[in-house]
Amino acid sequence: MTAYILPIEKPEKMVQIHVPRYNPEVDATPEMLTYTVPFVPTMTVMQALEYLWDQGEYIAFRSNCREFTCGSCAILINGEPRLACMTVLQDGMKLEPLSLFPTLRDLVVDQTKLLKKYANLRLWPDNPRVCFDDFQVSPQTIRRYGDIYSRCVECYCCLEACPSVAVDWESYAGPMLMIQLARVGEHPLDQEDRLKMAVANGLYLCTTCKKCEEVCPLDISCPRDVTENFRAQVVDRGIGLLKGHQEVIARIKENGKYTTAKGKSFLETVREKEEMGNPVDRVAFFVGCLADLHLQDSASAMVDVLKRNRVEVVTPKEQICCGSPLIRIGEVGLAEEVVLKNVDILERSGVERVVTICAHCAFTMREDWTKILAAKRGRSPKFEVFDISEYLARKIQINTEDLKPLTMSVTYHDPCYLNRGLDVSKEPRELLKKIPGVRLIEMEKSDRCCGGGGEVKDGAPQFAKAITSVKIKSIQKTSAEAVVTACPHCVEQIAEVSADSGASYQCFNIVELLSRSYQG
Amino acid sequence: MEHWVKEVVECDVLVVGGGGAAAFSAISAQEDKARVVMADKGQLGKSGCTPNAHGGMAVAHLHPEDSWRVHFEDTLYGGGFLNDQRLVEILCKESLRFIPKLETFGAIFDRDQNGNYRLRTFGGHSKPRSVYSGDATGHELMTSLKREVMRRNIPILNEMMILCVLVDEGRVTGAVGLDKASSNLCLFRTPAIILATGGGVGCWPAAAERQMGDGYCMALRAGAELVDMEFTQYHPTHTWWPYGVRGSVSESVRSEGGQLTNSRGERFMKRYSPERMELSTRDFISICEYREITEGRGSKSQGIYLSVTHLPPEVIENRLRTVFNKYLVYGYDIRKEPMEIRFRPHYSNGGVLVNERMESRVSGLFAVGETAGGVHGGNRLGTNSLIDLVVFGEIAGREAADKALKQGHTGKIDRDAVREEGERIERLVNGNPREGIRAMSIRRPHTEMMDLYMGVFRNESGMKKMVEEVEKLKEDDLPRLYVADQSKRYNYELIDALETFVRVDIEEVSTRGALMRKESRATHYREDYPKMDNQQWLKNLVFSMENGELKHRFKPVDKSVLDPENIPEFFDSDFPWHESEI
Repeated sequence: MTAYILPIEKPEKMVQIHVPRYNPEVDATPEMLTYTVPFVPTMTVMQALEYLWDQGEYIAFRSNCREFTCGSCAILINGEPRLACMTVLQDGMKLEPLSLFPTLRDLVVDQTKLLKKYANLRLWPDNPRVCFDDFQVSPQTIRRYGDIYSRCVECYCCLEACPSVAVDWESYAGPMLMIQLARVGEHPLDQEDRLKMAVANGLYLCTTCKKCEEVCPLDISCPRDVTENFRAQVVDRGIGLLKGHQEVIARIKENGKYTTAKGKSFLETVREKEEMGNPVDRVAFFVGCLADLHLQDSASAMVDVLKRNRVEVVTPKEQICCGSPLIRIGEVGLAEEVVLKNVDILERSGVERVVTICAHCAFTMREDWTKILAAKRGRSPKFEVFDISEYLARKIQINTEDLKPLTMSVTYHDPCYLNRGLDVSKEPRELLKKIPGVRLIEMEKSDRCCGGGGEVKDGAPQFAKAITSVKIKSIQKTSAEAVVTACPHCVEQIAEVSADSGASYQCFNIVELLSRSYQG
Repeated sequence: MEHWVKEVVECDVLVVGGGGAAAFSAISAQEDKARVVMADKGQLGKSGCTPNAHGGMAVAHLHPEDSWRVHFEDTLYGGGFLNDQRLVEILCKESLRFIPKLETFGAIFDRDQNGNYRLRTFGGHSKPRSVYSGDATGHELMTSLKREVMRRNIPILNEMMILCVLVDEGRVTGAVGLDKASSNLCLFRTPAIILATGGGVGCWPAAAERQMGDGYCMALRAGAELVDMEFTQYHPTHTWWPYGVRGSVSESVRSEGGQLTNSRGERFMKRYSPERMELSTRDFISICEYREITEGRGSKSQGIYLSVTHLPPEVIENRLRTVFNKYLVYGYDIRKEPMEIRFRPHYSNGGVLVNERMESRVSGLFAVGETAGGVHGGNRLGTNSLIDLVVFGEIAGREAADKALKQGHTGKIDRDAVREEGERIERLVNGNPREGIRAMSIRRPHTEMMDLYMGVFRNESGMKKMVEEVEKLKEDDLPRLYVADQSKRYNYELIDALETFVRVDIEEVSTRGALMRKESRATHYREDYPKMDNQQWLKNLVFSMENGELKHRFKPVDKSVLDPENIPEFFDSDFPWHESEI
């Protein structure tokens, strides 16, 4: 009979991995060493490390179950936190210890700080010891345990990836601990006020950027299943709502707008219909509050770009906030009202496609609107929603003939709701490459949150700015003349903090760059 | 002695291990007012095999047609009647109250619309009796136990590898541990120790590679006895291909209707066990798979197909989610294609010989979980182990606390033994590289040899070869074993080297035992003695160590509840497994 480890003797190819060897007791700095290991299809990073052990290279790393149920083996693989046991090996991979914790040796880190936080949260049902028949467990709780809480293997990948934790772990406990709080909070025997604990541990400091969801080996979505759920309870119970958020809710209640106008409202000036002969398509433009009230240039650019692509645009003037800020804050009831109102308005315009220039609007319309409409009216919307990059790159043949050269170096920032929310990251880059003369310089971690989401910037503006500062450093490193993105929240947040720190680059929405190029 | 020992810890009860059995016994000992300290070779909640146990917990009191007696008999048949019946009786009678107890610790188990626990049938169980939590029951159990340990503020020394138990005049007085973070030695002064270090399948090419059998080795060297060590359970559905997928494929896959097929697409179990089919006992299915593969009906990669493609996708996505996701990571969709699986070492059925108080013959030395022997006889039924952890964890904790509080700290610390541990490490680190041998050069070949000679099929010549290899390892390799890594912090090579000493004992005890048992029974199958021999071999084989030499004795099986001689269909049969239809 063949032994378990046999296939490694007939490798498909040899691959290299890079590992920083570091023993703080003796080494001043880590030394990056390169190792060659045989590769068998589907072989994992952990199997490569085990192979090296067998060769006498005892790279220090923690592991136990090797089937992603213990969460011991989280490391940085090519800069992203992942479990070594579930990452298929690739040539040239760089393995590093998690950066959130001090390195003890090679890939082993000191988790003392985390364990202290963990203990402080008292994550056990705090109950008088009851007997068997004293409690019932609702089917919903069983389902949520099975779908969400029990799946968490506490590998700390989400903590490592979280932009809020990176800025200030003291203020925000992080996704894993929020999930654990929700877990115990839903236990029928728990009597602690876990919601208050969640608020005290930074519930409103999550930008809902979904990076934790992306890196989670078990695909748990903390923003969707835990953060927003907790926040809805905050609104329900009327505790802990931040002043900035109360103002947002009040404004939307009053006039349907998330913010107050700087300059003249775009919707007041725009022509409701831009008709043309022989259009290639007919769409409605959902402007979004920020483009309507603060970034009117981007909204005008949008209409211009659509016209130059021979698309007939309808811009219903009664449109209001898409509901995204309300859902992120937790004001679900009001969100439902504005969603239904918007759906009626857009459906009245008779279009089949709606385009936006806001990542938050696009995501909310596609995900939340569909859910709300299904729940309230038992049907789906009569229109499809597209982000403009997606629309231009995938839905129609973009007019490249009229694009005139712009000599400019740009870097692209991925809005979280577009990239992780709607999986749109290639399209904007394709568009940028189509503009003659524009040179795209990729920044480090272009997908890292800018601090503009999750209503953190209205609730805790200083915290949001701290997140933005990290983003600004990677923008500056590229020395690009402009940072381009596809979301007014990102544009405003990056532009504001950049101005404060005296940065020299410009910051605008991708439609503005396209419009400039069309104008020549 | 002071030269090596950098830290001294005093407590009433030292719990060695960090899985479910360790956590539960620590909780129970503390409940009985003992000062408890846990020493975990890994990290609490992440170490041991409990977190990756999928299936469930056997509880006989929930199904209307079930009773403790039915569970008892199933367990005995499964174990080839080698089980300690007193322990099995406790297991089957006590199981029920632990489920709500675990729920008060924070666990949630699956229930139906009426609030009753959902039950699954596992191999060898004649009734549905497995309470479960999706297919991650062990993880749920460990999550809640970890929290309860934290709630009680039980001190945990993570990454502390206990090396030996100190004994004075047949009584536990302490232990010596190695702190992985610093390679410093830590001396524990304690009148009671609970060994909950799991099994020893790490000596085989198993998924549980980190479970080396430290507890067996320590107990043996402290004067305790080991029982049934020749029985190593092979799990019939262990991932085999693709290469990256690791671990076992939960028995719940077969419980939900998964089918085993050979290269001809035939459900081959119908030839071996037409009634039970895929829900036969683990030992038996493993043997059947072995036959199919050696007779040329194996899968593409010389494994066996396990298929769930006929099940509704939502059953696979929900109830078998862990397995489904596991394969999906490597690009395999089990809704559409069969898994390639194979039998793999899974569980050490034997262990430290204990009484009903879970105490060994060394006063104050307790063993629990996979480290203890006797409950499962020659073959453990699926889902009997998670319930074993908690039932006997409670007893071990209570009895250890009782002993410690009654006796107090008496007896001397064996300073020579402590010094010997320090010197052993120093010898390893200062060994001569030119003539020396490093741990990994022993680990790989020995792991493979154990699979070859001490695997699911055994014979005299193979096992004799293995005994020679163990002798060679003891005489030639161990004295020149050295560690090339000189640093003290997280020296994994040193750990590997120290585990080599454990390996020697486990390999020797299990191979010698298997060689001695000239019959086939439960998980012990010999080509040269393919029949079960109840006249000769209805007895347990017990090993002890005197002056570094292994001694054995035979112990008549426990018949306190059910005498196998009164069951002719078992006693007169020579078929090694409980498959009545054959």
